[in-house]
Amino acid sequence: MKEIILKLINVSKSFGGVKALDSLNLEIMRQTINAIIGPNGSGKTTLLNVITKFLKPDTGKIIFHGKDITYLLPHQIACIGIGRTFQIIRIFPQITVMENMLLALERGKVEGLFFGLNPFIKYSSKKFEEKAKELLGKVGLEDKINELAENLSHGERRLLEIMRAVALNADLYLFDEPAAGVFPEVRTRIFNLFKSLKEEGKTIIFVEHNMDAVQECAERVIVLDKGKIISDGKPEIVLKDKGVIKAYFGG
Amino acid sequence: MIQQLILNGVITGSIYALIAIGFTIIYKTVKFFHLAHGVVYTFGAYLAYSVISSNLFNNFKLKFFIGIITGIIGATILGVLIDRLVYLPLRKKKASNLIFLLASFGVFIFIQNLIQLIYGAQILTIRTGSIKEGHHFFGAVITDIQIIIIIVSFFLLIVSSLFIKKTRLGKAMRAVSDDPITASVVGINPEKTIFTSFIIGSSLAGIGGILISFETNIEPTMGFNAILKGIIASIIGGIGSIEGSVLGGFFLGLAENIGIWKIQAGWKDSISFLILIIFLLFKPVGILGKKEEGAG
Amino acid sequence: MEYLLHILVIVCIYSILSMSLDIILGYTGIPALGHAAFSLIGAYTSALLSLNLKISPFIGMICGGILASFSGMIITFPAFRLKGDYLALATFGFGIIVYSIAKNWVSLTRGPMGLPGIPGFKIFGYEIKEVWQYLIFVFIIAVMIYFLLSLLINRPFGRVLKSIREDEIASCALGKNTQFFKLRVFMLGGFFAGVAGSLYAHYITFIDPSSFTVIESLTILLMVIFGGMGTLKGSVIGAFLLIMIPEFLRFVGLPSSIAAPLRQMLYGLILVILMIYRPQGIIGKYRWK
Repeated sequence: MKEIILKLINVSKSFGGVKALDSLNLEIMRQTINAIIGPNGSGKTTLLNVITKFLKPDTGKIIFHGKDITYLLPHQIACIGIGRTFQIIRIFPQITVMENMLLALERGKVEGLFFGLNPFIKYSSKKFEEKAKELLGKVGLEDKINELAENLSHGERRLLEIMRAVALNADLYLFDEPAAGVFPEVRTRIFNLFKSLKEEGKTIIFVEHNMDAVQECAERVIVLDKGKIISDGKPEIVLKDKGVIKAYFGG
Repeated sequence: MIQQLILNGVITGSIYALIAIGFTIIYKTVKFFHLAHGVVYTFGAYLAYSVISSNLFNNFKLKFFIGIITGIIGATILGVLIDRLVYLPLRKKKASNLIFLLASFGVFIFIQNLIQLIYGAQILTIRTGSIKEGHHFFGAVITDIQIIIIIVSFFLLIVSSLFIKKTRLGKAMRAVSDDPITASVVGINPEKTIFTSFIIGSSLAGIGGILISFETNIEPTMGFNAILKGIIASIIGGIGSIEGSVLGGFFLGLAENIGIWKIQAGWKDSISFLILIIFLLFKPVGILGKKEEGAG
Repeated sequence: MEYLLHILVIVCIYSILSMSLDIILGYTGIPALGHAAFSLIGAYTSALLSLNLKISPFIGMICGGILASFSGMIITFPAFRLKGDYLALATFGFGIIVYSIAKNWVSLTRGPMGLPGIPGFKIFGYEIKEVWQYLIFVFIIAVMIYFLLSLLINRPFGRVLKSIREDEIASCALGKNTQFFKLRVFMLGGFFAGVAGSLYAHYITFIDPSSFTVIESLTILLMVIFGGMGTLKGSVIGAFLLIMIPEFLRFVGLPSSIAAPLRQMLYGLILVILMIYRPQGIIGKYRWK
């Protein structure tokens, strides 16, 4: 029996009367890969934003590792071990790929103001640079470390954003449409990465539109429609569910 | 005492409202803070002054009339020129609002100092002859020129809001403001609309500058205060709203003038900026404004 | 010769101001249009302490920096909630409010009459009187600040600042408390601007509010943009050029009633041209979004 890493109890969020999430209950097991699917406007991105506190839930509770995280702020969420990417890629364009990675790797005391100003401390990022190279190597970006992030191709940006989240060394990763608009070859790289992350004991939730991709990678599929879970389970079963097909393809 | 302060507030407020409404008409189509609007106001006043104080015409009334017309036309031309020479290249490059704001600030500094170079930094006055005794009015004193200011401003405020609401051009302006892409799809030329808004907005600024120059004096730095108050009025009224900018103008004029009942006059600017910051922080959409991006 | 040294002292002081603005504007991407307010607070604090309480200008300078730094806290609150041109306007308002306090709180600041007779710096009981001595003094301080700030921006703290400029939301998602970073960067920028103000006050020996207007804030901003935002060297170059270029106007013998507005016109023109043709400045790479 695997333990529960994330638990949502009765979580609701509405925007001006429209319910994006409607009393949602959800449990995510540790060391699993979970896909969230659903038609446009079904609340997928809202769900990720509510978990990471970029949106505050109207009601309900969110439990992570047995602790209530409902009232934390977005940066605190990242610090307790939830990493994420965004639907629209959010890399830091006008700094290098390496600096993008270092931002995720160097945390804590070294980021202090007085640490930064103290001329008597010798500080070098070397250790972290090695780590960044190693991580980027996993997805074939090691040649790009000194490029400005804005000069990367769309697929490379996606990979960078994902690797930057991975560099946080979180327990739970939320990826919002990680494989949208990338070449199949890059998509394979991404899903292989997910599998190896799972092997390391990480938990992954990702939003996806492509059904083949979901079947290829996820072991559990959660289908959202109008802010409610309408189906939940193994991909091969869920994707044949009549209700899901109806919600997705309009019957 | 309080009656006089309220009356002063209304007079100041009507000038602020004139600046604010011109600023808002431009803001609606271009969506950035056109700071140089303030120097258009100064320019209008100085042009009118140049004609009126010259010895071009013997007939004083004619000279007065021509002075006012020159001032308004000059201000309008300046406004349009600023748009063509500075904002148009920036629009083509799709520059951010901040770049527009800073460029506008640059234009402001440039023209203000050009005026100072030509006319000197000293205070000038258009008024000729002695100051006439004012009329008594509910315990307050009001001069002829103040009555004219109030009447002209109210007239212009009503005409320009009707213009935006009723005419085809005004509707086009609102369309460009709400959704520039759809507006261009239905055949509204955004550039033409922007051009019109600069003509109307700048002429209102020019009129404002000329009106105030009859009431008080003129100096090269007068536009700075005016545009700040105009922007503050627009924001507290609700940026992009014509009625809001008028309301904001009077609100600000009254707040400043009633404020100095208890506080020294030197604090006027602080009062208005404090009001602005409070609004920006706690009610960024202003009194009448719609929700705007970037404001909150 | 003495005049040239004087100009170089001013260049050093403005370099400190532009560097301290650059970490806010160029590195963190916060459009701060009220930087002269910090130097006003530094200058008045330090001047009043040494005039009224006979406190050493060195201690006064630190106190001025600290007070300016705390006023930086106040300006951070709008920075938490506002963006872009709205934030620019709010910081502008801050500049005007501080200026107007200095002008109207006559019992403390003597208002527009200003504070004359501010004592100079003393090192081991020896007063710095000659211009060249003062030049060495401010030059050392400016170099120290340059050194400290370049250390800071190349370390993780500086990287986080850049990430806030690039994408604040993504920065949050990486666990950065961006608001706390903004607070600290305003306090730091405020501190050094306060120090610069104090250096100015004890050098000129007279201050009045007119040295710290919003136009002054704009001049500092222009130095940062001219040299290139997000490069400390650029800020120094910007300060140097924008002080030196207008000096030629005086050099060719124009009276100050003409030279002063011409200088401002030049600044206005440079700002407009930069915005249209080269918003990243002379040596800067960072482009505005």
